[in-house]
Amino acid sequence: MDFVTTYLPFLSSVISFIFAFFVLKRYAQRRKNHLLLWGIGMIFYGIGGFCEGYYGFFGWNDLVFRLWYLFGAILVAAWLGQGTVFLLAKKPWPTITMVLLGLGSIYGLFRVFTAELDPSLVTTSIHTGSELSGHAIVTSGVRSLTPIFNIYGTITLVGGAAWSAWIFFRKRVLLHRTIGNILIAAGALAPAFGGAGSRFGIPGALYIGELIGAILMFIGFWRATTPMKADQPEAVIAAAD
Amino acid sequence: MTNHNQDTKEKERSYSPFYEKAIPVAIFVIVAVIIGVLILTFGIALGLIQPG
Repeated sequence: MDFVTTYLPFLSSVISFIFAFFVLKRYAQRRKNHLLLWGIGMIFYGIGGFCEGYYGFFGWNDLVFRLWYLFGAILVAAWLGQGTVFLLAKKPWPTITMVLLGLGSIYGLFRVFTAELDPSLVTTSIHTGSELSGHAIVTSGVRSLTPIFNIYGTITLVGGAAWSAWIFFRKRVLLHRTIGNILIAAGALAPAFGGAGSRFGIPGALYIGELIGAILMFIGFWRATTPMKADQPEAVIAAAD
Repeated sequence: MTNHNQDTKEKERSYSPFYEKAIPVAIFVIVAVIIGVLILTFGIALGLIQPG
């Protein structure tokens, strides 16, 4: 048992749940769909981290693995990205993609919870088995869902944040939002980096990436929602919100 | 006339020198990384890149 596979994912989980609380609190005040979806996405992030920490401390559990794979591996990025779609895309795209994501998520839930698992497969030639890995899923076709959801999530969440940052930069307005969006984009990329590192057998890469991601996105959200001294007139802030 | 004034105002606005340099670099790096991650993901999914 080591720090990276036990306390680190729990820490990511706690940060994610606190982040989700603040996002959902903002949703309660403003009733904007993107805030609700980001809040749900961060709860998924927190569930993923909790399951990883649980595995590090207590070992294999079928239910915990399925919850981790569904929320932490398949859904989290896509739901966060869907929030950005609601923020940036014009009607009817948010609704259309939300319906597709909802149906896809239900299908993913069904596939993950009916999949055959073999815990011994968590340990492979490049994985020590100290971290959770989708290799434990025996049933074919389940793991192929992950890149579909994650590509959608990465393009919408990271691309959306980068695009917003560029728009604010081009107009030289709302510096706090420019910085916040860059941090959110960087934070959203961190788990993708970690996941790629994990696939190449770098120990702890995924969990470290997830922790860095949760921290950066939290700071980015705080920065984007907290105007700086030298920022622009309130009319512009309202338009950007 | 109004549009011209607005354009002029927009051109005059600027962030501090540090942010003027750092932000475009950061956005460029993020976009490059997205492209890299997507290529890697597609490569692994299609079996063109072998992990390990």
